[in-house]
Amino acid sequence: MTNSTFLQHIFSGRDTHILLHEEAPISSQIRILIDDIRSGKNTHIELDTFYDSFDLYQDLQHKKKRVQQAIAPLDMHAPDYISLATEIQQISEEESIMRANILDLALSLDKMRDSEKIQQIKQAYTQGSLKQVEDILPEDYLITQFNQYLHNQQQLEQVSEQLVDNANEFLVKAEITNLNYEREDRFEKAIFYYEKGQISVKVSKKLSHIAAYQYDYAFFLQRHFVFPQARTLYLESLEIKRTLNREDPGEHAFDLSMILNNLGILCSNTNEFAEAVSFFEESLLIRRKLAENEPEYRHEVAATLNNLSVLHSDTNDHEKARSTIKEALEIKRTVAEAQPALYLSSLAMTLNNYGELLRENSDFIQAQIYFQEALTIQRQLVTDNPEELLPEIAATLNNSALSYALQNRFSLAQAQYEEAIAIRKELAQKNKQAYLPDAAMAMNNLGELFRTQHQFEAAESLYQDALEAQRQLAIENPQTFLIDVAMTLNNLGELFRMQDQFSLAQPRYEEAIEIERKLVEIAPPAYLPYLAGTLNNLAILKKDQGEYQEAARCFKESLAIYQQSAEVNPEVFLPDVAMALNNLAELHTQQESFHLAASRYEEALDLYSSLAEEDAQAFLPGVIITASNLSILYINHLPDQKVSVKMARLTLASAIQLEEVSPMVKNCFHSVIKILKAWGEDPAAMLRELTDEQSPES
Amino acid sequence: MEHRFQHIHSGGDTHIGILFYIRNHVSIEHEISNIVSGLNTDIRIHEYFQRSPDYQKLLDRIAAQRARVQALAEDGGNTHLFEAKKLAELEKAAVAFKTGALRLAETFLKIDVRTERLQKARDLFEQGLISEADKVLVESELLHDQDALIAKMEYLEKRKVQILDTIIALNKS
Repeated sequence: MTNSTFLQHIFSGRDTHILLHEEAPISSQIRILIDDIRSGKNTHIELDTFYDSFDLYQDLQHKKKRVQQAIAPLDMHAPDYISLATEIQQISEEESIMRANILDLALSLDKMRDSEKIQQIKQAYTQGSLKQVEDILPEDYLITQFNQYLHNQQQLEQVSEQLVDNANEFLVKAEITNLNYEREDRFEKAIFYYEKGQISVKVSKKLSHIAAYQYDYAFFLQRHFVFPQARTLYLESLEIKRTLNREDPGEHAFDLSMILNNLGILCSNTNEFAEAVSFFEESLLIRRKLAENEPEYRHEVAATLNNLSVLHSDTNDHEKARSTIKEALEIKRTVAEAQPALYLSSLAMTLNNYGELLRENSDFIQAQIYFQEALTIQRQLVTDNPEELLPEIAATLNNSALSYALQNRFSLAQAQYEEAIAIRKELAQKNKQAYLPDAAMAMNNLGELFRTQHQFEAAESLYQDALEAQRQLAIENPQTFLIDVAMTLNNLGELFRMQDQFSLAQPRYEEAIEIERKLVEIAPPAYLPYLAGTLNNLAILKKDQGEYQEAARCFKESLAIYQQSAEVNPEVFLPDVAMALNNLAELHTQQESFHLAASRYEEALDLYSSLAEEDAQAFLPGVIITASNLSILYINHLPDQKVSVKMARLTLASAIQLEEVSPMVKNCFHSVIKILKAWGEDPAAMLRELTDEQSPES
Repeated sequence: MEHRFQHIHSGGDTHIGILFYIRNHVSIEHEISNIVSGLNTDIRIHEYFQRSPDYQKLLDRIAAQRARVQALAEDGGNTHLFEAKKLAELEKAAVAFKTGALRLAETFLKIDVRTERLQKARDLFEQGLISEADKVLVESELLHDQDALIAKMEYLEKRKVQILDTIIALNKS
């Protein structure tokens, strides 16, 4: 007897008048009947003959009839009336329950696999002998089923543990395979084993093991720059750990903070800054709580603060970057005082980072104080541990040199760059892979210093040395070092363009663009800004050569990239959008499309003005350049005295707010003075007026 | 300004040897950072690699390649440049080998080593015999076990549903 036949048979075998539809599953229809009976909605009297065919139901009916006969002659006020009426009520309720149970049992029997005992039960049920069903189904049968269930659970647990073991075997196999330097496909094969292990651990359903496995796999992928997959795995691990942490915070809190921290680093690497901030902040919150009870976590708090500060700095949120790193610094000073041997060099690193931040904010004098303190600590420690401290000293020297360069203190900058290069070159002799990239970077920086001083020969020589080193590194590890090659090629292009050596500049830009396009295919968010920058520089070159159509194509592509990037990270890329708009407007001016130029300049000016409201010192130069360009446009090409003077006035008003004035700003300043004179205005009076307006008294 | 990775340090089983030493005396992240930077590692870790035949084999190949480059350079011409590239790759492999071995140590400390295969692999790892440890974990055996375990798991899951249904039905009837 098949299950469906069983149900059909028991209903059709009796004259039930049951209204079953052929098109719907019979079991579903019966389930509805049961629900109706239990909710008291409908007793389905058409089924009465069906229930009547069951012996136990008949017994109940007989009992009910007897009581009904007993109550019939009685007056409502008779002494037994109430008890008999109550009995009828109880029997009716039992009847209702039994009806539902008869149907329920039919469904349960239908689902059961046919063992010998079940077949006997089904047979008895079909004959309506519920008494016989009861006899076949003694109490110990239920106990047997429970025992079987428990045994099954034990076996499940055992197999689940074995699956975790199997996953761990694959994990170890993956890591060993990745060590086998003789295998060319070791990375791919390691991934194959990681994937296999992942299947086992997931089937095991052991949440903490799944979380740990996904974390290990993600960490491996992150170390090999496979960011999207690493991210997915981290997120899976994170979700599980969050659940576990809610149940047992003490056990999982630090692990959770670790996943969040690594996700923050990963998102920083892929330029997903807003998410990175959110991950770091959550990690920080957990670590702060941990440090409240266990002070050894204080250093971990400082580490996350340090990472967060770097991120805020990268997203131009200087205020937050500064307050975050200040707190990290305070913690590190405390822990370094308590345990100098362990934490002094870490303190020096944070001092250097703080200096970098101040340098980025153009607070050069303060920056030097921190660089010097870092260098003093590092030079003290270097005698005991030269191998660890020399790279740190070179890093601080490089940063400090850049700070000096930006203050136009070229000889101090040059001396520090040269010391940094010498240290890194020496270190690179022992370990090329680790130190040659940094040596190349320092050479690049010194080259840049020479370029700004118009010492073109010295600059070219340094750029070429850096490029040679970077090309060498890129052969072995293209994914990491090709971008450095592209960057130095771009710098060389700039160097040649400054000397009007267009034929030398163009191939450098073009090679850089070719590399950047390839890298964009691998990881668009990370490399698109580099591509946009080089396209912008090539466009300027094309414009200088009079190839306006090609220049327009490059400018527009660059602008489109910056706009696309600004949609995701406005705080980082809006200044680039403004710059690209200004450059494109300049091109339109040269193409004599003056109205188009005016419109682009105005867009750029709007953006710079909004940005300057947030950070005047950083973005007022942009306002000055764009406003002066508009002033020139409205005197030379679209004569309009009112607008031209208004823009000149804006240029002057912005310039007098600046603490540091670059040569470019000076040029703009002088240009608008001439324009104002040409319009018959008195620039000196205007300046006095503007100065009075901005003085603290007014 | 540099980010730094951090990693979970959780408990493992007790096993005396280099793994025990690593767990109790060194920071794996610090040692990896030293290896990558070309700095000296902890003395016990240094000794471990000195004893490892796999690592020594790699060092021998590096020494032979270095001698070949030197000889070709003395002969003149450009051939030595190609060989120098191979030498650089081998040197890179030596660094990757050491950092990877420390990551493997971390894994051994973190997981529960319960199967015979994992125990053997760990013992061989302790002796620096990493390629031997690899041989213990035979791919076909691991895959075969996996298939069997998944099939068993599926069977037990189905069985669980059946028993539960029976119990429910019995309780109701």
